[in-house]
Amino acid sequence: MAGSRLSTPRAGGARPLPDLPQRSGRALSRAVFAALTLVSTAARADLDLRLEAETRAFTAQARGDAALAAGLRLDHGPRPGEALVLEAFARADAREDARSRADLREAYYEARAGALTTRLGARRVYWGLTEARHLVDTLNQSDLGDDLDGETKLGQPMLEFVFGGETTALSLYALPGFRERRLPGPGGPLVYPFPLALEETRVHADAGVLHADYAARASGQFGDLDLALSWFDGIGREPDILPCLRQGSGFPGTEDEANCAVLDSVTAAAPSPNLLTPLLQALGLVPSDAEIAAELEQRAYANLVLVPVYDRERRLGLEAQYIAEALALKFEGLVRETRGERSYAAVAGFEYSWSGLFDGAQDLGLIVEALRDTQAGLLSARYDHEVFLGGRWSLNDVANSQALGGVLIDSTGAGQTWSLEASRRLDDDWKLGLRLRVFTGGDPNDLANVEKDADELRLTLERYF
Amino acid sequence: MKPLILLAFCAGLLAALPVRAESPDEKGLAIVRDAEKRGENFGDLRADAEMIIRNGRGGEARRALKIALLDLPGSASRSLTMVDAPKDVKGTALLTHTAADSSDQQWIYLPAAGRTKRIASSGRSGPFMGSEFSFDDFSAQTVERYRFKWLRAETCPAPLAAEQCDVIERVPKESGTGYARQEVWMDQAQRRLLKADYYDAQNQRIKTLMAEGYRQYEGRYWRADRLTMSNARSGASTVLSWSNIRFRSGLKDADFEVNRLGSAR
Repeated sequence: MAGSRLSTPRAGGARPLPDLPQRSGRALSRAVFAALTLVSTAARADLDLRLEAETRAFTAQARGDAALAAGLRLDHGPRPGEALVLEAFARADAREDARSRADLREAYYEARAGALTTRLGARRVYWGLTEARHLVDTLNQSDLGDDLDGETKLGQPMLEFVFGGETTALSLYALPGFRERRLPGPGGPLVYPFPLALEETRVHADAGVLHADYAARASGQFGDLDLALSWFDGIGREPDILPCLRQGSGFPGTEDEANCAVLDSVTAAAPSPNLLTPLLQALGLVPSDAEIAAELEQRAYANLVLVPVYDRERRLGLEAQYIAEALALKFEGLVRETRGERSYAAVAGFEYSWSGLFDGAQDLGLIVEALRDTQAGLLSARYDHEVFLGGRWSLNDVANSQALGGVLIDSTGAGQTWSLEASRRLDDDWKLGLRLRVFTGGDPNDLANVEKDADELRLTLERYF
Repeated sequence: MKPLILLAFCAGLLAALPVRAESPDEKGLAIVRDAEKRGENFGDLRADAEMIIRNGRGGEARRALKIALLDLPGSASRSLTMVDAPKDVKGTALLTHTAADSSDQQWIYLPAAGRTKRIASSGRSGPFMGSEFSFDDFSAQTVERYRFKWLRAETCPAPLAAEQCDVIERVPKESGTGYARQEVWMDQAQRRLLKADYYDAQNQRIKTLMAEGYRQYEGRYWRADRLTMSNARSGASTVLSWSNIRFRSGLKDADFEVNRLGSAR
């Protein structure tokens, strides 16, 4: 028995030539079969389609908008330990052209071997745990056109290595390619004091097209304590939005591009006075200083545009959460360095949950968070000195009904942002969503307060296939 | 006097040892330990599961799940439940790590937000996906988590009415489970859990779990095909049906790591 079994491969090995075409033919048919199963498996089990209809009402501006969107997700495992994920999204918006677009939100390949997981392609990676602000979340650019809350993320090309333990992980990232933040356009909720000049966007990167950002994150759980430390060196995802003089507006320094040194440029544009000027002005032969200034101011205003500027940023982030029964203490902290300036930001707070309420199934959570940010800027001002009070209500019913609401209060008196998000399933394949955001108490005359009329009520209906 | 008392005490002690009957607590624990021993070392298990949630007023909803379990030395284990349907929450994953000392930790991965959230132990009595099963029902029911007491022997509940069952009370050591105690029916022949009544602090029956369609795998491990949890108050019930049960499919510790919750599978 043993002898005959051993002799078989030897005999096969002695006749390699006639065996070869037969084997490759078999391999080919096997490959075709595998490809067919691959396609049919993917189509059967892991291809998901979502359609969405959405209406938005900008209540403070007495106007509205409607949109249709589709999302497609393919999740395929060619071999054990490998995966291919594609997620595409497209939307057609009736009024806001900037929202009518298609995007590949995820497109990556994943391979796992031992403790190492490698992923290559466009991905979305979320860091953080606080509610009012996703402070340490860094890697992906936000799509504020989708929603001002910034929770919609654009896919970021990356090479990711994750060395994982039971409850610990070390992740290393190389992030080639930079994506600009998507901002609401005309027709959207924001009313900008000056037109957005996205074509003038400045990205101050060190190495042009071949530039890559780098990041790392170590996370671990120690009993009831969760800790994560993250580091990032690259182009900051949050732009500074500067008022600049439009290119070709005639002001000095606007010949080739917009000039963001507005004061210098406008001052230089004033006619230089000579010895005769006071005399001529007194005789009314030339405009007075005040008239010149007024004329210049008017010209400057008419030529101001908003230019997003991105700079290199290095940031170190810390996330901590401690759970004691129904109480979760949360902290996110950040040290960042950009344009040679160091700034600090933090969100600290807690969520307390009552479970088994009412008919014994519902959960209610109270969320309190304090926010600080020392970075000077138009966007971070929203979080410089705030307190968030919120609540989360989960009915835990068959329809998965839930609501999250709260108010972000500027403790220096610069206004409040009220928000409510609620959703429930209708039947098994339909989902109804509601979002409400109201801005109160801001200075209506402050040009930087672009959100003063951005109140929005949004209804969505989604169908899953 | 003194020696006499001492002598009497010693005699009493000696007398008590050999003839002392097994207390109800010890008997209950012994039975459950026996049941646990019979189910030990199953390696790993994968299965598909369907939940049919009936609200007691004619409404019905379906959930499709994939379940993976890993048995580790002692009381340690891993459990992963992934949601396939409804589609809006497809990809949601519930992970439970139970340590050797039977303390456990639970995480939920929410694909829409790409976030992994830790679930506090106090929040586990809540319903899982609107069903009559709680998050806690999806974690390992280790012996160390309860105190036991043997109550009585009686014929098993239908459909195994021909068999004899032990009825054992189990009281969770920790609060926050959503019930004060359970009465559990186990058949004497195979030590399989056939029925469990859940009682609240007022000793009112709140839920009943029935396990049916037991099948033996690997010549040793008994698994029920169908678990039905009924709510005694609302009349709602959830049937959890298992299918495609595969033992020893080669799952490893690494498949249950927290950082892999968001991974494609």
